[in-house]
Amino acid sequence: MIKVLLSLSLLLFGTFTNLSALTQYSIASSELRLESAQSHLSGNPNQMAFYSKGLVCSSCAIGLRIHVEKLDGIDRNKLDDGMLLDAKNQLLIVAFEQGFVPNIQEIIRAIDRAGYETTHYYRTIDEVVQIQSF
Amino acid sequence: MNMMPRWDGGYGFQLITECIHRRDVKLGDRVIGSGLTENINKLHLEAVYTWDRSIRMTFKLPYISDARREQIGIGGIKEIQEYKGFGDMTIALPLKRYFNLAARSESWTLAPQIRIPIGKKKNVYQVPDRVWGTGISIGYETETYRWFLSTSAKLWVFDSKEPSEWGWTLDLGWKPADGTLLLIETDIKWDNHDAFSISSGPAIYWRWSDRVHTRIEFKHDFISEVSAHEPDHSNADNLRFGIGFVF
Repeated sequence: MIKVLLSLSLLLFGTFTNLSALTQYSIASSELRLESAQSHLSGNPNQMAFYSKGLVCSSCAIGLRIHVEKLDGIDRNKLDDGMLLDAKNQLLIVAFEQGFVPNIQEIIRAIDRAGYETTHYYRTIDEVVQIQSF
Repeated sequence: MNMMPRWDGGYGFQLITECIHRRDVKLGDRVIGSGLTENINKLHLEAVYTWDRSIRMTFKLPYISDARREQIGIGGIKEIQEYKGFGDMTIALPLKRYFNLAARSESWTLAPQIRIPIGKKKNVYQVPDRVWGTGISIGYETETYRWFLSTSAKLWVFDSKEPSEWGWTLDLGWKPADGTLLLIETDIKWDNHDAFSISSGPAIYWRWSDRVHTRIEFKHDFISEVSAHEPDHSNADNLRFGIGFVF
């Protein structure tokens, strides 16, 4: 019984120590995200970057690829089969065919079905990367 | 791989080979047969289907391709026993609640599960329990771009004389690069026949492509006590290699 209690104490200590370390992890700020979006989108007017809240692991986010690639107008010759996952900045970058006007509601739905939430996206307007809220 | 698809309609399966080596026979915490080994090679088939991110179903079926143990037989002569065949099947219904946070994701899991015996007892040496069981586990998982933490507690209650089992796991991970996760995993198990173990060791997860994922893990028993009522092999080393496919 003593060993059980000792083990549980160790596990609880380990869990909460690491939880507190996790919560202190520097949050990807909106400034950093904008910088990242600018670096991805500069010179690529047919690409958009969607903020995907909760996207921190590109392995878990494969659902984003699966659901977004079903949409029309994805330019599969650009990026990695038309998409790029930037888990460090919680961004999904999508390349569209030239002249295609994407249905933003469909993209929001695809991000939701992949298990994430989005509140805004970035696109190039007059050669400047701008934030667009839904 | 504890990386189940979190997207609606996601599914996958994985194959895992497992080698278990146990070194001694114990009664409680006392070694009564030093150097009497048990070696078990298993192949696990596991599958998952995610209806939506809050509910999924998992299926696990092990096949014991080769098991061999040394026992002290009549007259003190070393006796070799062997086993081959399917293990017990486990079906679970994990219910998940995800929280998408700023630069962090977390989830809580409640997983009711049942264990279904496949086949009947054939001989004295049986690797699977061959009994019906009901289990429940509760888990918490969180990760950032660099760090991963997962912990869960579980309880299994079995039909017949098999003792109830408790377990607790803690997995701590660090991601050195995109698609790679290094982990230290720790398991604590005990049952109401006083068997108790703490095992721990490293694991590496590696994503080859969107569809193909692999995982290697090794665990060593740092504490290994068996039931005080019945001698059993103990002091295990466990090596697992898994390859998974998701769609």
